[in-house]
Amino acid sequence: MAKRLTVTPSRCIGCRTCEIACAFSHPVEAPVGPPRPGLTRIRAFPVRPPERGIPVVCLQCDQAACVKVCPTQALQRDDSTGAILVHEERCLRCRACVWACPWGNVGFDGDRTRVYKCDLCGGDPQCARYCPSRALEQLD
Amino acid sequence: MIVNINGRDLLASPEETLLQVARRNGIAIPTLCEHAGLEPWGGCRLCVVEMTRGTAGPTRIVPSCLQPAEDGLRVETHTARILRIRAVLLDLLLARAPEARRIQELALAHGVKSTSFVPRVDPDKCILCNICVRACAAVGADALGTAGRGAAGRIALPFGDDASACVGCGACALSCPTGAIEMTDRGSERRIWGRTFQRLPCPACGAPTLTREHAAHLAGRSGLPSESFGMCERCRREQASRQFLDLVGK
Repeated sequence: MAKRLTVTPSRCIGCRTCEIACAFSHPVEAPVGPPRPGLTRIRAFPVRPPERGIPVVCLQCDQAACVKVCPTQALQRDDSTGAILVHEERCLRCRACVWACPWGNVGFDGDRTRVYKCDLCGGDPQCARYCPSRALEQLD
Repeated sequence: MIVNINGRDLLASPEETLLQVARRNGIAIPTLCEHAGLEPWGGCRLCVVEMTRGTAGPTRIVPSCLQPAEDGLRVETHTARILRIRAVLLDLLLARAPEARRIQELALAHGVKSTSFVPRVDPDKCILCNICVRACAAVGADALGTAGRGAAGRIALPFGDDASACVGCGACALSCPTGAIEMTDRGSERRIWGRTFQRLPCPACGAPTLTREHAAHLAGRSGLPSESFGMCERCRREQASRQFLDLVGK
């Protein structure tokens, strides 16, 4: 069984370090330029008072809507990490997955015409690594 | 099973095509109509290779994207004869779509600097790879087809102008390898295939999302109500955060 990225919203302090960690782990190639915090695969929505937040990130659903609606099986689960990955070469850019995800965790980068979502950083999610309050953890 | 490509004995499985075996082993074969998410089509003919069965069989020219791997096949991908065929194809395509960057690059790589055929009077960038037609079918709209033959061949709507099956998803324009299909989004309006679509406003922030027809199409295919598709992904994330907040308690 792969490890799971586990979210414990009650521990989130709303610092949004996860977003920065995500942006730096998924740099955007030229010509658009490096880290774009607007295209992070995770968002931590601040809630106040008291100061805290709610992280929203792909849950890698067992019965994933994005996988179901994809006409070309461009979204496939990587069995070693449990992440649902976008296989860009198979993608038609119909964006059915973007509209189908009930949590809004599949995005479309219009500048490079490609779909993006959480890939669990290949099994070592950087958001969890840098989360200072263990609201995001990579657990067995 | 073992297939010999360019003198190398390569392991292959019967579900694989020669193109897949070659690519997996780092042998580059040019293609135009190939798309990993779509069934092989065999239309562009650029992926042709020389193929011989056994040791003394006749040599045949086959499109590698459609040819299944067979034990004992001997394949050559870059003989003078094959390169000449590819050069002629690119010469023809250059007459058809002189402004398509992909064709310019491939033509140059095959020693074709300018076309030796009569160029089209009104050239567009379409190279008839049919990816848009097949993408549209895969999406489930099936709004596109081909019409005409030879130099007059083109991608077309049924009866030339019937865009009624189009849902305005834009997959054809965004998967076109040469950018030949025009799609413009202005405000909530999307224009494509001579038709103007209205993109639904996100119920939370008002930003234009997908077209009404696309939402209905996705609803029909998934069995979910079409309202499930109208919110932009940013607002859906925010909505999710509020749902989680309710779960964990304020």
